[in-house]
Amino acid sequence: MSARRRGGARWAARALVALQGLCVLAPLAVVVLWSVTASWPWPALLPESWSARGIEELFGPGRDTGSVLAGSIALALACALLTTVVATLAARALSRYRFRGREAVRFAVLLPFLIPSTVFAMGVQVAFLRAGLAGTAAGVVLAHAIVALPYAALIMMDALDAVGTRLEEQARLCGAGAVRTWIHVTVPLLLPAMLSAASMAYIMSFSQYFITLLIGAGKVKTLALVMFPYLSSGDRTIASAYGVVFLGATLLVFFLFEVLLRKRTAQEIDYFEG
Amino acid sequence: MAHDALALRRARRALAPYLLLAPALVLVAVFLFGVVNGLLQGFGIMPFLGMTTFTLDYWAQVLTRPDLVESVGFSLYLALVSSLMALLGGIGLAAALVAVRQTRLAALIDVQIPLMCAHILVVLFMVSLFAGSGLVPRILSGLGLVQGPADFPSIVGAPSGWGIIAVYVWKEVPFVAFCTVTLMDHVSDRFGEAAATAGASPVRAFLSVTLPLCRGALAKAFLVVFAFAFGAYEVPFLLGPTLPKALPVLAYLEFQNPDILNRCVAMALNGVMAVVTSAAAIGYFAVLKREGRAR
Amino acid sequence: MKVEVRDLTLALGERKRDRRAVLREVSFSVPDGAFVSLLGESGAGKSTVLKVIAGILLQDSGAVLFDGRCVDGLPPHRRDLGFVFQDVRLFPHMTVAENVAYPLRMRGVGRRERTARAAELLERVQLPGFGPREPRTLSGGQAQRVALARALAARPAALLMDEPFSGLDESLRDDMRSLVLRLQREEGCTTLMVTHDASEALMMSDRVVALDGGAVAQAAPPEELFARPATAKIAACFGDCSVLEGQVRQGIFHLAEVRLPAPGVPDGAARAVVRHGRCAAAEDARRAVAGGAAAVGIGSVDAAGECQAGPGAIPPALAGEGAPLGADALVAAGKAMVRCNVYAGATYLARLDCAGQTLTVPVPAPLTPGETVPVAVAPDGCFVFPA
Repeated sequence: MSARRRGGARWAARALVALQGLCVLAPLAVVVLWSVTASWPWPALLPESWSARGIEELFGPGRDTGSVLAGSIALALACALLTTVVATLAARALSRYRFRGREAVRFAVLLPFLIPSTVFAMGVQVAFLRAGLAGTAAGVVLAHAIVALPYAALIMMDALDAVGTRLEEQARLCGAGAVRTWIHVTVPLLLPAMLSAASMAYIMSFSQYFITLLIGAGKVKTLALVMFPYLSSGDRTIASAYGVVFLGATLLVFFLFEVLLRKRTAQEIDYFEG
Repeated sequence: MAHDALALRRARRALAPYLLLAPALVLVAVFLFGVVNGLLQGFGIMPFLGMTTFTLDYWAQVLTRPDLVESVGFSLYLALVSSLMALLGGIGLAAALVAVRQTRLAALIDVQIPLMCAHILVVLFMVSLFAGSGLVPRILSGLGLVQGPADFPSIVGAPSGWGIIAVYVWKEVPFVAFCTVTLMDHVSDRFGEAAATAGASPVRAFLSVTLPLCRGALAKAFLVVFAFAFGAYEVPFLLGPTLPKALPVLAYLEFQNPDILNRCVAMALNGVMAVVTSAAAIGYFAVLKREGRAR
Repeated sequence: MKVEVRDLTLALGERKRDRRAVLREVSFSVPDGAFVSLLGESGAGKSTVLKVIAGILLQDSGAVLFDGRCVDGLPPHRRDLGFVFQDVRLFPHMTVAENVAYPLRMRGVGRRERTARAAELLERVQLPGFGPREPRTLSGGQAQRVALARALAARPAALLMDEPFSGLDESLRDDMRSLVLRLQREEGCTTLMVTHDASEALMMSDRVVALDGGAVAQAAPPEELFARPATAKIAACFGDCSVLEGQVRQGIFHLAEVRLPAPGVPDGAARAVVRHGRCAAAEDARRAVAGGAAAVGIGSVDAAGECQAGPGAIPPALAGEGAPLGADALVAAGKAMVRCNVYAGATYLARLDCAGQTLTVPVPAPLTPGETVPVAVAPDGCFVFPA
């Protein structure tokens, strides 16, 4: 009786996981289809004819999609680097040390989770203008890093808590100073987490629209900015082509990080568990 | 002498966390500066224009404008419905992933890919699925439920904002699952068997043991989703109706107005937004505190 | 190198109000080349002492001295110590050889030399050829031996070990203990080991420092610690004993109808520790009494506080076969009711009821539950302390 019930729950769970997979993959597939569609008359379930028009128009002569894409990736990578470094240092302070104001700082670091970035972006715009940061890539990277910080900090705090201080202590006792402990032990152990924090920050930066719009002041163009007007109206093929390029750029870098990550974790995880 | 050496080491240890935090504090300071600066502008304080007198005029103007209540109501509605649905869906998804002993592939497709997709990309997804020429109306028409593209309720500009909610749900269900699945896996691993031997069915065990133990993580995820859905601009701008406008859309409209004084109005609107999201932040802080005490 | 700590005091706790004294004026020294154990139950502060000596924790007051020189200003990596943790702590991203050679690398030793030393040490911990392996492929015992090799690699001035064997299976511990002792002798390395296992401390150390509640309860050679424990906790820490709470009156411990010698213990509430191997009941005890052994409370307690066992202190009957112990020291100690028996292999253990408390006595055959039997104890296996 109870075995049957358990079996039922297992099947329901499997169905739910499959359904979610369908909900995720179906729109992806539709967008990919649209991006290479020449015509898709109502109410056919599949396009009638195909063409590379979308991609050609994006990267054709007179269009700067290629350089915008490269710029977006560079910007997002810069943001990932900055955010990861800052988050790693901060998470180290928050998870290793007990100091006055620790809870307040922890909360402050997570605050961009909760106060909308629209409020922040509109409020800071003038200050960025006057500081000469508006309309510069540096300003945009800084603003993106602020929004990505809580994600990266959470990942790093969890990782530091999991790794603990054991091996760092051991390195110190083996005669390694603070710097060499950091290089030989801490960074190698935290690398997987740093890669996921970086990948998260990359995605955050690559996806930003509103902040880039306000801080970039029209001078910093990212793919999100360029594709925005096409999204809800206009030429579906062009919009989908942008969507595919956008998705591709996200997935590519994500899998790049993921491959680097696998290489490391495969050999280490079980040691910690055991 | 030896005592001094000890004191020196102690001082260095006391200083270390602040040094490590310095870069993050700079970022946080810029963030807070932006928020506070914006809020001050809502009170008419714009030193760069020589305006330094505190006034409640803009707030009064904002609070009495006829479209405010509707805007706030619309944004609250969007945020609440989206975050509640995301919470329920996220719990279900996380539980399902735990129950099937989530494989790497399932986690990748069900959680990680949606996490990676930008909100604006999800707008495109939903439009491709649900707009008049989208896949879902085509399927419905194949089933004879819909006659033509115009019969299907429009996803863009619908007063119910269902398109916006669809985007948030698609995006945030996996987010809630992401925030809780590790903990849930751990909890059900540790206590699931104990609950089962105590005679609880899987569903009862989940409701009476796993869920209460994941309460903190769920509350935090819910609040983050709520605050985001309440304050984000892109999705309601792209998919929202002309009236009522979501609060961030209304604020940015005022912000863009060539008359610089409208900025103060925009900032007062942002102030309203900040008040609501601050409530979420306080809730979040309370959860953090409780977790800190429990530990 | 001689390691010495003086008046170490340390309170830990995140906020002021939940600060808790972990160490209270701890002082002791480890002579050059000696093996000293820090013995105590969990929470006694023994690992904390070790971490203060290593420089990982900073004491509130007091000093750590190496060869008379204060090292409080030195960070952990400049103290020239080897450290073995209970949880091994091999670097998972380095090979076994790299782990062992790591302290040498930190001291600027060239690659060739450190490879050679690592190989030599691996051989000495009976892991020849393990150099290229990854730590995760090692068993618990192997990993701990690598950790030991690493701790000794750079010929540290002192070796600190924090419960190095408690993560290992019982069967491995003895081998590891011998290995550690042999290496310690060969290297002549001053060693301080933390343990909660009293017999381990007895077997391995030149000297034992017993900690209780963050303070030194006794510091003595192992023989003295065993024969003349300073506190009830130390007396009881060797296991196989009964702990009884009762009253002392005029040098005699009373609990129900049990009497134990308590020479020199002031009147009032007291705690007695009776070692299993040093007491007898029923027939054994009866024979002792019949043989003329004094009964506690009947036999005299002399002015010097030494318990005099009376004229027939050596009961001949007990010296023969069937006697559970060297009967020379047995004295009659009243009587108690048998509650039950348990089988313990070589003997049975009779649980005797003393006003609700339990006195456990080894007996050759089970006793009848409910029967009241005489009890005898050897004064050298019976310790009474004011509660």
